[in-house]
Amino acid sequence: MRKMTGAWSQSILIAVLSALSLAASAAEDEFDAWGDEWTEEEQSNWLWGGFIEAAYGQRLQTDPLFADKQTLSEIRSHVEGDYSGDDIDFSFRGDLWYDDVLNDTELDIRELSISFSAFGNTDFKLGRQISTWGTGDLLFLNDLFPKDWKSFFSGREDTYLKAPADAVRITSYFDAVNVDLVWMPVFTDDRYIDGERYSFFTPLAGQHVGGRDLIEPVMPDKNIGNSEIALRLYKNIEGTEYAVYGYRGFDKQPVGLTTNFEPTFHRRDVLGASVRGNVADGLYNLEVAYHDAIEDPDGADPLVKNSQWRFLMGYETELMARMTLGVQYYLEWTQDYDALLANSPTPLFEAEEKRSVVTARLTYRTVKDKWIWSLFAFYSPTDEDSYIRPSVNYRLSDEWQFTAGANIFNGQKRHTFFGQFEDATNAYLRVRYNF
Amino acid sequence: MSLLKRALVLMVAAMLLPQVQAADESDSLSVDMIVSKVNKASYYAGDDGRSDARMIIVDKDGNKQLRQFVILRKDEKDEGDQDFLVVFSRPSDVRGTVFLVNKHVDSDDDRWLYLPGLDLVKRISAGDKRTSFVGSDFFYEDVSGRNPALDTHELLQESDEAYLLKSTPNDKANVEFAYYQASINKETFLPMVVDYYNEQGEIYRKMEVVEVEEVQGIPTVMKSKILNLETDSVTYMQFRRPTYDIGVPQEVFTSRSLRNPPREWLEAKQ
Repeated sequence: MRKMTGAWSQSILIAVLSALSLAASAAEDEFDAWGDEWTEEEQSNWLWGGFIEAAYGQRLQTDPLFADKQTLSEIRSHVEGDYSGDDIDFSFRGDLWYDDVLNDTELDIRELSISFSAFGNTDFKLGRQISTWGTGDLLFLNDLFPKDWKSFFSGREDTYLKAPADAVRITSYFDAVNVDLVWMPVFTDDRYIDGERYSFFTPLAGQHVGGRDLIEPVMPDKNIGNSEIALRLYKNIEGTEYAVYGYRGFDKQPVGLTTNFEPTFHRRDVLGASVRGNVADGLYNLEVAYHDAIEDPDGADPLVKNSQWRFLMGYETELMARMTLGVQYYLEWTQDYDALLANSPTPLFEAEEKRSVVTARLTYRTVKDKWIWSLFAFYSPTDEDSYIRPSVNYRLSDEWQFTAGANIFNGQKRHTFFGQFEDATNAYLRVRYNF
Repeated sequence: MSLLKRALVLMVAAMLLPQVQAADESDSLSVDMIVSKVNKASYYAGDDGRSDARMIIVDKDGNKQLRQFVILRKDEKDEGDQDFLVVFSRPSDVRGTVFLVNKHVDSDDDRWLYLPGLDLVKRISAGDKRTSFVGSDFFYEDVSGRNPALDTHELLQESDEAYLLKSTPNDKANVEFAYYQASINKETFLPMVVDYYNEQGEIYRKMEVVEVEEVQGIPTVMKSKILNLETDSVTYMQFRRPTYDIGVPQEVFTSRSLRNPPREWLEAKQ
């Protein structure tokens, strides 16, 4: 029996080999078909690229504050240009789109920067840019760089969660430790949910508001003392990445109030640390941060959001070929909670003292990443609410990509973090052409 | 190199040469020796190296995708730990993506992917090796090499030109093959054809070297391809301007190169 199988496999082998010799001649053609594109592009110091994208999304529920169900309806063009000079590089990323939800044409310069190196060990990047650090997956403890929650909730590509800021970034690499400094001379807030696209819960009114942009926050004065500084010291020791972080700035969203009860950004400093490395066929990450309410040290001021400890632990592993699971446990521990409740005008709507969130990300890629199925779920056991982000991406070619997905919010109470967006639950579709 | 040194090297080489030949003649190599030579020839040529590379990915309908990148490598020692840096330039939606591997023989590799749009340094879990390398039929493991200690190897056949090796994984978890067979060129010790078999004993994946050139005296794969017989797709990989022993320093294979790829080492020196 075994011999038979052997003979069979041998004849199969011969068949395959002869088929291959045919394929081999075809292969020569394939290799030749490349032509000389390689040499062409190196003659220029400029590289250009970008895409055009059409996107549509709409509410799956009814929000009485919005006549229209559309949450995303736009034609977007994105252009990237990079210049590589001998000593200096230049980089541009910009988006221009017609936003049918806002009936407006919008321009967003996401990057306009120069970068260069000096002293052998230091990289400089000056200008508008996007910065990211920290170990969390869609959870941010020490990353106080601006984020675009409107884009994130609407089904734009994940890249758009990060918003740009005008900054000076200096990264120095030393044997002892690497030092990464980002200075943002003018405070840049998040692009937060403001009622324009989605309604939100206001504790003072005790109800949802929305239908238009309802937040006109009082911004910090533009002076050098109000600039934002973010610092990271980090080191990789035999594959384990250690980092400590510091931030001096403001709340990234107008969660505070002025004495006239206008929304505003209060001073906030953050100190934290993280570890990330390999463990048991996967990756683990641990991160901690203390968000210090500088203007409310004892937590009694109802106009200022209290100080918080934040903890995160995560683990990611490959469950089976091409299927990855990442899980995270996150805790926000509000300090001086008794003082907060005692002074709050709306104690019923205050977040829990210890708000916990668990997340799971399940990603499945078909062979060659043609299809990428993804499910990201946030669930808060303390708030009893959830936010689920299923999506599927199909890559037809280098040019054409299709994405469909949804943002599903669920909650028991109307004031909780995710629960307040129940009526924002939406599904979306995007078609992209890369050039 | 001074004249004296060169003469010394020549003398030593002359002394060694007959012995090498004798060893060749005496008997066939042990399986372990073959596997070790294959590993060295495939992934440890020179002490370091760079090359331009590009792939054409063709699906069953004939749709084509292109990837273009530069690959940099440095060995700590032969068959030991080594580092890889892969910097993508095409297509436009992966341009600026950088892949860094600190490969360890005795422990899990450390691997990172830099996504420029998010400025995100994403760490990739170590188990995740037999997944598509940027959408191609190649796996990450095909690029940085599979640790020979993960498989049990046996010599099936030996002809004048080639060894036929069968390699069976010690741990079937995380691999999609039941075993693979490699036809090794006896002169270069490069695997010229590798067939991956499934549990049913059918070939479902095939790697083939199409062209080998001598670069600085080192036989170097210039063209190869991977066929996926299940999905009827194929990826052609081509290298250009490979160079060995360029003297790239260790610090190039650290996080700095993710955000700021080291142009002086990536560019080919003509």
